Amino acid sequence: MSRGGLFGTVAGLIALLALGLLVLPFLALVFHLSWARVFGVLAGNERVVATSLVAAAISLTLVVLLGTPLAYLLARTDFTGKMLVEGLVVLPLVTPPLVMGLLLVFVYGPYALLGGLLGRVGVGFTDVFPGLVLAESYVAFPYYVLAARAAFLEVPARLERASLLLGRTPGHTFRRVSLPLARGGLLAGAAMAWARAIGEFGATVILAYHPYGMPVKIWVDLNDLGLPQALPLATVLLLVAVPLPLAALLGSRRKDA
Amino acid sequence: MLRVNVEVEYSGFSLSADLTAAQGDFWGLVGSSGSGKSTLLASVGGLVQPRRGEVALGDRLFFRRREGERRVWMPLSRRRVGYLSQENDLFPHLTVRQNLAYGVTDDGHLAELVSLLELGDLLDRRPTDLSGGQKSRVALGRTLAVQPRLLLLDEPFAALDWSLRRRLGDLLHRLKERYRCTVLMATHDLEELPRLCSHVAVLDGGRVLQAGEVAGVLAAPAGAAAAAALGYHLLPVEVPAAGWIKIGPQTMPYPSAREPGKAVLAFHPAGLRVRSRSGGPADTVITGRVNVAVGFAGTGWCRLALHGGGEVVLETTPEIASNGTEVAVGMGEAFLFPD
Repeated sequence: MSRGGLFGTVAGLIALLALGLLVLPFLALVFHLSWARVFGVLAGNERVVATSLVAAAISLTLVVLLGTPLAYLLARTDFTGKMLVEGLVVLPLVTPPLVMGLLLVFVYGPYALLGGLLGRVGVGFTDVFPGLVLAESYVAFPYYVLAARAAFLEVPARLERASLLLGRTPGHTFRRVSLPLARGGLLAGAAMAWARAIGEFGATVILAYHPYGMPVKIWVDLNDLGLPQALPLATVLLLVAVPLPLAALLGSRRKDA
Repeated sequence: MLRVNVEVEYSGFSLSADLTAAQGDFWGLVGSSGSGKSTLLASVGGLVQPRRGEVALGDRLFFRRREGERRVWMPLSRRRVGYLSQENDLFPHLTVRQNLAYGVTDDGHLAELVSLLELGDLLDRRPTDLSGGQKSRVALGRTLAVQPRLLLLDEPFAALDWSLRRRLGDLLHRLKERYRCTVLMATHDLEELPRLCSHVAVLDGGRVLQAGEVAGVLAAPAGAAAAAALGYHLLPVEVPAAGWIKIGPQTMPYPSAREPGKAVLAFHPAGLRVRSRSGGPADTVITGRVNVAVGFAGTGWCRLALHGGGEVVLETTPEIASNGTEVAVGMGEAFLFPD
């Protein structure tokens, strides 16, 4: 056997092992699940599912709108304190979600300075839908920004320069050159951010226990009704969360823009 | 008219250049790698910001920075400058048609460019499906499609084979005449100089050593470094007394008032002619031994190991072009520079 062949075999075996370990918990879910109950649970939790989907969609929109310019600037410019900014972006990623929730209460809670001010103009974040969106956005933000930054770094700066030299404005260049060429990485980042947002539990349980999103409802059902009741809703969470990342993955594989 | 007077500090390299080009001039920039050709083009195009100086095309001021004055900087997108390098910089996600039309607001003359550059069959292809020569043609077309008043070429065809390079060079010359733009082209291909360029600037170590019309500069290099950049062969010689030079073992009369000491004799390989015996002082003769020879179709080429040191390749007859032959070579026009 050639060295390349041996390497391929070993790598293939390790990959199979990794894949097996990855799939194992989901196989367990399939064996422990009654599909009839999934549909039953779905019928009783339409509002919870809708809350989760809408909150995650708004979070993703916010994350993409706020994160894309930041990711682009981090990829394309050098400035004093850039390392610090990059560190700040990673901060929510390394902060345990529960702690993140506590920190959000310190800022957006009714007795915090900013939260108090916002409360006076009728914008609250504790135990309300905007709180759910806020918590999900915070935890999803670094996933998108880091992926988007890497995607923009992959776009050769000389192509953007070529666009400017052809008389196009920086805005046009960004839309017609940078964005299409970074599309794969941006979609992958958006997929990760979506998955992170819709599955967020730690920060939301602290800041916005109500209205129930799916992760908090699964926790409540587990405590109140036990595993047989929690498992079907967990399956529903997986089923509604997966299509978007899957579409993003397929979209990022398409070569043409 | 293009006026360039810049001082640039860029990646540990410094350039100080002064150049004026009339509208429609085709300037060749020659010099060894690292002489500052690309930096000069980049500072004119706005890819690099000079430390001080001025760049202006006609009445349009691209850049100005002087002591006590407010800095002027025109963004790249407003300069109407075409820039082409070896990388081509075609947009990989767009078809040839979309690439060509990218910067165009009025596509009235796109069809003409497509025809001149023979791109008709390639319009729906992506750059990844094109050969090197095709990519260069598309990139040239895309650059000219926006009708730039100034074209900056940083060895755009250097990676292509000789015949393709020659073909694209001729095409470039025709297009330049058609679109009446001023061209600055960095090149290592000295054959391109007289064929394409009206003017040449010789750069070395971040300075313009010599600039002017191609014929004049080629015929009279300003110094040894300029001569080397222009393709002259440099031969170390000794001046034993005014009016004489010593090349290896040979001492011969040479019409120069240079003081005794070490010197450099510069001669162009194109001027070399094999002779049967020594010529007069106007045609300095050097001797050497043929060590590689090729005869073909009534012509011959040989690599001559000079007795004074170094090697030259020259065109000769098939009879002379045989290994081991001792030959005398008339240099034609030669120049004596201080060492």
